[in-house]
Amino acid sequence: MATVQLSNLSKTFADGTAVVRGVDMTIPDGEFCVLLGPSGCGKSTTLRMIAGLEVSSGGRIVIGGRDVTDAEPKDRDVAMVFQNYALYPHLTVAENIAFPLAMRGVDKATRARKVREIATMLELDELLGRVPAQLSGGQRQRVAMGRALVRDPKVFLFDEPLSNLDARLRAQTRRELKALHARVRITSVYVTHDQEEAMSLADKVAVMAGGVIQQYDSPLELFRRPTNRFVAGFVGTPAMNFVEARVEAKGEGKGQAAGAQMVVTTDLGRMRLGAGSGDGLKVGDVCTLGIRPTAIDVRRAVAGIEEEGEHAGVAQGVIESCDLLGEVSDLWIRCGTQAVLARVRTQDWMRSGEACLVGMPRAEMYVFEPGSMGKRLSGGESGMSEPRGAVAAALA
Amino acid sequence: MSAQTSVASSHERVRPSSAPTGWQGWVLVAPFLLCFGVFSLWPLLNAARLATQQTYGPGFSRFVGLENFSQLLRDPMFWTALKNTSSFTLLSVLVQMPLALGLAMLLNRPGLRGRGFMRLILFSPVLVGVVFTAMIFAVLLEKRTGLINIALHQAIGWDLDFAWLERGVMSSLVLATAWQYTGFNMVYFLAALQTVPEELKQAARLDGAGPWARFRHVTLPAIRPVAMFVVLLCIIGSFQVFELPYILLNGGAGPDNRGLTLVMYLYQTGFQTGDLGYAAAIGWMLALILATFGIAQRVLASRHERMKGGTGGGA
Repeated sequence: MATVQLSNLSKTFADGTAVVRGVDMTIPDGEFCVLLGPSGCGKSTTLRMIAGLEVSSGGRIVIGGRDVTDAEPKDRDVAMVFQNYALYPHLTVAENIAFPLAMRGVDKATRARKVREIATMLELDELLGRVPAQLSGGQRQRVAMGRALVRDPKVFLFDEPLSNLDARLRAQTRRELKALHARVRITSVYVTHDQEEAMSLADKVAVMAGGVIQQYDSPLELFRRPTNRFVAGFVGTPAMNFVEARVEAKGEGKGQAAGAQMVVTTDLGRMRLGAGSGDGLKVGDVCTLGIRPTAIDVRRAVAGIEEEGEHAGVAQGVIESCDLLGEVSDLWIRCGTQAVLARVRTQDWMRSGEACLVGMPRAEMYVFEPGSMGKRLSGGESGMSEPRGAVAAALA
Repeated sequence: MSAQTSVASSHERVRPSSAPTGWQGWVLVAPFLLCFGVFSLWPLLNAARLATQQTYGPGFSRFVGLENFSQLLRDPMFWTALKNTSSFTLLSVLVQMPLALGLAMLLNRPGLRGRGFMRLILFSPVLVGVVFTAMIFAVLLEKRTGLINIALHQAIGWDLDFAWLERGVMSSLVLATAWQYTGFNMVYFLAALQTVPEELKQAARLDGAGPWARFRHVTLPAIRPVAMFVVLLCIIGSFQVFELPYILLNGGAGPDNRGLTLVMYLYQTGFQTGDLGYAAAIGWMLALILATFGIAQRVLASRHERMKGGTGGGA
């Protein structure tokens, strides 16, 4: 077990493309860290640099207090589980698991004992004599885990290990992985582009974009207080709604913040944001408003929504499409030139073409600086976002 | 009635209108069948018939049953030819395969400068005809003036008067063949090496496998089917060797028949002695030997396929 420290780690390919740019992070001993980001954000390259499969262009990698930046992969004491499992096709399950021990000259009796232990832990006892081709995807995944576990590495590296499994098996393997980590407490670095996977597995998540860590925080913090618009849009299902806005009026005087409000104009109409919103913005400035689909209130047009009170604004819209998910539905609502996604409790009247009112609770509004990487200026102070829309709709 | 109509029409829809039916299919395969029949099947059957005849030129023939085959098994010249051909085949495989695989691994390294050019250079000898290769090596293997003797003389003090085509017939044949076909085999290995999963090599590196262990446990199992196929090609080609010794040894078999191969013996019997029946028997023996190798390769390959299974996930 060991702490992993990356300082100013970078990677530039021969053609000059910088894929990882100055990554700084410390993964404490025994923690499960997930590198999350879209394709090409540099997360896999970072992982491969930790493994030693990719040579870094700059920076240091320290594992358990030892600088391994220039060490061979086998000398770093890390084990990796690959996307396609990378099992040796001509070796049996037992031989696959024992392979790293055999390569390190461990005697036969010890090898056999360790393989038995691992097989029992991962419920592979019945499969030890089979070759990988005779296993299902989930079983191969477990064998790959076994091969990584068998030599008690300091660090576990996972490169999208669940992406080849079907949805049900993925959820099950995720639970098993979590339970396994709770038992062995080996420092783990896990790469994925699936934010649900990241949120459910990680102690801490590093969200990457453009080769840079955008935010390194606990899953809950990422969700509640995203550092910028990118993180806000990437974390959370369904993704946050964004709308461009211009500051029309702003309450003056910091001392009377309780009464201060910011009024903005958007494609959804005028909105009155809560006190302290949009810190640093002046009248005439441009910003981006964000609201999670689960926070939106949707009512049938005839029911009406009080504009005053808890809502920053209420827009009139028409349901463009309704995806029934069961208890809840995803509604794409067209409000003028802007389309808004809302996840609400399913009601009979929710059909395409139906007119509705879209209410945006003031406490749920986020304000970001303009641009795709715009910094969060306010929002997330109220704590965990409740599915307000759904609750409100149920009460209506 | 209407139900029947709808079934019939749905059948018509299922079959694309352009799909050939019955006789149209036969018309399409007819060119191949014609060529195969005239140039392969007919000569093969005729050779089988001929193998049961004793002939003296095309004019005289007499049915002798399996006499030609039993005679063949007692014929010391046949055994000499079989021994020579087997040695040549074994040596060719042992020389060409490691060399071709080694070169392929060398030229498969990413970032190696002049990789494409080197591949072309090494592949090009196969574009030269065997007759031309034989003529080049006849010059190279000359006693005093041949480049090989001169180079060996300068390197290790080799005897300049060493007569390769008398005392080193087999080595000469193996060397010339290796020059011509190693690059060709290398291309197969190169293609196979490019299919070795990168993840598997990396997993082996992390598992602590050194270069040899990685070759043994990752590369070799992955290229095994292609390697078996290339070995089979080499065996078939080597068993059929004829032009090279024929030209290098001036139409003879060299001193003490050291360069006598099966096909050369077949040629001598059929076209110099004139016993086409006996030559056909030799041909059939050769075909049986090669068929055995072919079947063995297929059995091994299918065993490998079964082990690898249908999905690539484990690979």
